[in-house]
Amino acid sequence: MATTDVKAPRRASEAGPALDVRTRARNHAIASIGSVLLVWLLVTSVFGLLDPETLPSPLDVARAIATLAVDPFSGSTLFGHVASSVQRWGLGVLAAVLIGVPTGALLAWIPPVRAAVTPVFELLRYIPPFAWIPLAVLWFGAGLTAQSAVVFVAAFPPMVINAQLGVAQVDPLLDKAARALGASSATTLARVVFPVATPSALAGVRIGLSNGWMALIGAELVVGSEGLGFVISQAQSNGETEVIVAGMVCIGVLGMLFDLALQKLSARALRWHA
Amino acid sequence: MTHSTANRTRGPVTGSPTTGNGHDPKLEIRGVTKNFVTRAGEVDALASCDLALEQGEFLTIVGPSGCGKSTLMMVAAGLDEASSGSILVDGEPAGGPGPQRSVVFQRFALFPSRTVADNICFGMQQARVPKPEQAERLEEQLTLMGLGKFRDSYPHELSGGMQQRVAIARSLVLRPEILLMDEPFGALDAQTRLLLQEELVRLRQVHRFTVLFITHSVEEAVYLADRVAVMTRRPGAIKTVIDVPGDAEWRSSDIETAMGHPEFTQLRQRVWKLVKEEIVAS
Ligand SMILES: Nc1ncnc2c1ncn2[C@@H]1O[C@H](COP(=O)(O)OP(=O)(O)OP(=O)(O)O)[C@@H](O)[C@H]1O
Ligand SMILES: [Mg+2]
Repeated sequence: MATTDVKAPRRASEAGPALDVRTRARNHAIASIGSVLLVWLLVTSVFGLLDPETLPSPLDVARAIATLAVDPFSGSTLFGHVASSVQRWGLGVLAAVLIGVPTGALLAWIPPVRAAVTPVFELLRYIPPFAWIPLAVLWFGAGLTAQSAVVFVAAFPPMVINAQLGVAQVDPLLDKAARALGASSATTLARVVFPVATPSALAGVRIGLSNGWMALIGAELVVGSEGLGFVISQAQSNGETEVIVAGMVCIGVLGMLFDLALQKLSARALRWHA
Repeated sequence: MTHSTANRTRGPVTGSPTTGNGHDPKLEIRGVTKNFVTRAGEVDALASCDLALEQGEFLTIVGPSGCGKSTLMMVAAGLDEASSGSILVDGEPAGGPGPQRSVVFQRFALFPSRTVADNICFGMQQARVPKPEQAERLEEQLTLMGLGKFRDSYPHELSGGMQQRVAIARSLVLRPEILLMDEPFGALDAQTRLLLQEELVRLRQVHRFTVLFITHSVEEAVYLADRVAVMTRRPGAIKTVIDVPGDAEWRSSDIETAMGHPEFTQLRQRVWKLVKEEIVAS
């Protein structure tokens, strides 16, 4: 049958203007970070408005990072500390994703479970991750497990809540359409409901990842003998401001890189999403 | 597709399998009522509805907006439970939904994370149709619906009319015994609508499916149907069922020509008057 002849649409991601938008966003990012660095450089090195004990210059900080990269500081090099932070964070958030996302989906899919679990969960949610540190240390000792547990506690709620929202917001008509086309309940869940819930679930994972990272650094400030949080608290005892700021910069940059990586991954997984 | 509709034979296909006391209808809606319980209170959507469709029959339903047409279709599809009454297929309680009672939803209900091709193939995948046959039937539908260039597009990239065509293709590709269509041509431009009406008439000759077809258009209802059922305003019930003569002269022409025919006009006006009474009365 010869129906109306129309051109297939070009997907926005493939089109020219989208590239422009991306390049422009990158230029903006470079310009704004560059300006902050410049102001920082001006108030410290150039005009000397702030003395190095208050705020070291970016050059001092860069030098400190270079030194930390080769000379051990409080037991290991910068890479060692980064590795241990990333490991604890990774374990904690991995557990939160593996348990949190299915839990959220289940809560949305099975109303009685939701009714039973939600009140408890709502209560626990208002206990901040840091409040779990003492108990975690008592249970697991001041090491990897305790730190990862704190990460888990911080990352878990947004992952559960967003996965639940994602599944709950799927149009019930899609479920009906799938069943009318002969799909079983399990197939409907796996092939229709989950994909549609993914954007929301991923948004939760993203929040969880950053919450977990922040909770970890906080926990490392208080307990343990490794990690970036530990580095800055040690540097504070030693009065090494440039090491404190170096640690802070590493924390910020790493957090941002994780987030960028996740965004890249989700953009690929959500090609269908408007 | 051509416009030659000269050899259209219409009317229910007789001689379906018989049981004890004569033959069973293909699809029977028996005493179906439906009320929804909402926060605002109970809504009576359907008063008692009775309809029986013979094997191969094309029955259209018209009625005022909100009278319960979609509700009736959901119940007939097994996707909603009736508050009372039952749905029978071949004389047996129909049970849950399935691909033999294929549904085209008023709101399309396309799967947003699947491409056009994956939407159309979804039902065949569930039925484990062999891959080569899936590909063949997919091509057939893409051509039929003029969707060839959009096979890899996602629903949100399509216009409403194209989404509707995907929804129809997704249903037709299963070659169901019973087709339940809820305003399937509502979002189409006049031209495409015309072509798909013709196509549906042709497919029905080939596949002999039984069709329950909801529409807002009285012309469409009369043109396509063996019988037109008019519903009352909410709570909906079947007010009247009007036979459309299978041997009418305008049967062999396309809808535009048919509309010029006095016999057609008379039928259309009769149906329209019945619908209007319900709109005025509410
Ligand atoms: N899930 C629901 N919950 C509560 N009320 C509902 C629900 N579905 C439908 N209704 C109500 O039932 C009545 C019939 O709705 P339905 O969608 O069947 O009408 P319709 O005849 O298909 O209308 P239209 O021609 O506008 O599509 C309406 O009053 C509607 O508000
Ligand atoms: Mg409707």
